Amino acid sequence: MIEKDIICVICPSSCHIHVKGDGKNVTEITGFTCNRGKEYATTEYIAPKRTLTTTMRAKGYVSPVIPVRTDKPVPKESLMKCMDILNNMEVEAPFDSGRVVVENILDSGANVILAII
Amino acid sequence: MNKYQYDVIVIGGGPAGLAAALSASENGAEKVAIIERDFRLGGILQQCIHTGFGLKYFGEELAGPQYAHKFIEQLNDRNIDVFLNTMVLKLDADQHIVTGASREYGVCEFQAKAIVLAMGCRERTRASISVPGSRPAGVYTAGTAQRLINIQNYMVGRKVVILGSGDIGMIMARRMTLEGAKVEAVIEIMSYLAGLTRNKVQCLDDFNIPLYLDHTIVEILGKNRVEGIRMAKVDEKKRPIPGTEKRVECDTLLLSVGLIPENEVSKGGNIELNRITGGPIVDHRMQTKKAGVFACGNVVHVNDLVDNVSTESKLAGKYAADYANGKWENGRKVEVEPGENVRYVAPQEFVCQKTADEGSKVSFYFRVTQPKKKVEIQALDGERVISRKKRPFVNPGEIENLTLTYKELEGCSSDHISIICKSVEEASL
Repeated sequence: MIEKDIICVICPSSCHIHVKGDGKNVTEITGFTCNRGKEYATTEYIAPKRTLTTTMRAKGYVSPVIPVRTDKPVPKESLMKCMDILNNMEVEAPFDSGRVVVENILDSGANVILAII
Repeated sequence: MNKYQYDVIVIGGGPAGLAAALSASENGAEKVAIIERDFRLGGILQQCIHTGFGLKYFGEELAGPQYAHKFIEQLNDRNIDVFLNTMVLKLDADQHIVTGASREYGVCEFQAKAIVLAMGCRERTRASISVPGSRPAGVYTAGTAQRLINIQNYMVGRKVVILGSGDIGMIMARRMTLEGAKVEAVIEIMSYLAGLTRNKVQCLDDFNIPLYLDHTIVEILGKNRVEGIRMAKVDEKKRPIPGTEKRVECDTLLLSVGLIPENEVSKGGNIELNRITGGPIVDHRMQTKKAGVFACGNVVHVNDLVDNVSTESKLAGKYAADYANGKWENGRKVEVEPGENVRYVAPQEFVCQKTADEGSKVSFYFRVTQPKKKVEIQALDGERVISRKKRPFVNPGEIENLTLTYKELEGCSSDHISIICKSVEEASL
């Protein structure tokens, strides 16, 4: 039995949700006040994911670095590995907001895109 | 001197100015211009590369620059002039003349039918909170560090302590960790978080960064560069408790200790400011005490979500356009004041208009003084409750609002309404 206390971040209510299970499956979940919160806590228990935002070096851009983000959340434990990859790359023109600069990073299914003005 | 004439002039090209200019143009102002001191539009959103913007306004989660991009794209489709690298030096709020200067245009004078103030806010600094200790390099406000790292590619430090649990401070804790720094502590003098809970979860808890509530920094150590800080627990009067001091080694201290509306230009124009918010006193149309001069966004009061800034600024833009087009009516004023457990309310006034649709609504935004559970928010006309709503909890770090209809407001017998926030048990008595 693995238990986790999760603070929901879907809305400002910040419900404290308690989840029990074997780490892969949820057997008991209490403390949520809406379905979105229940879903959030379940994902958070089984495989927490986060959207990564950072900057990459950019050649010929108006500043030496350019803002990028993943277009979907990636597994939380892979954030630092993603950082290693992005910190060792350089982006070149065209600098269009939304352009994919790394496809399917670390096989996560998420692309890294330019998130610029 | 270059002279220009416009229907609506917007000072500031951040989120507030962008929404106001766009809305002024959409609502019939023919000639609209934005004056911006930076080399591009977007304001502070340029350096807010994290996501969390736009959930309310666009229904999707955007990074700061993406949020600005959506407005700038719409702006390009309209006939709105943008003066970049142009610093506003003077505002004549009676004659509606804005004086600015830039390399490209020289000293220039803008004559406008209506003016919108959208200058945003500034960070409080070490001087505003008087932290004792030496004055070494390595003490930054969180927003300055954010600009250095995210735009100028200058890493400010490796071992970091953050004073204040505001949103920018927590976001910088995560940002610095991702870039390889070690964040030793986030220290907050109050007993509760200053920023949003979601930022504590995703920026501190995710990276095991400790948060010390009821603590403060009693000394900054180091001669040339920060070498550490001494922190201590505080008592209920926020005085450091002797014997609780602890030394933390670090090379950088970031301050996230609050924001103040940026009103140097407004003060020059003799615009009356509210003592608590530090921003202009505005009515429900976002008009300041000077006719035809409007204000919106963080220059009025510091918001926690940019989405609210955009919503409020659209109002300012619309009414500025109406004013410029002569569609204007003045009437009886009803002042809206903070009452029990409410620190401030914005807008501070409602103006009754004969031509207005009485079903229209006004949202009043406010912050509570103390966190409380199970409360009822009430708008009072003397003893009479005009409107009420229940909330499971309130917290000074998160803005609240109460929406009233024109009918409810016009029906007030007194010229003062107060907004209060009391616990449900008291309210039901």
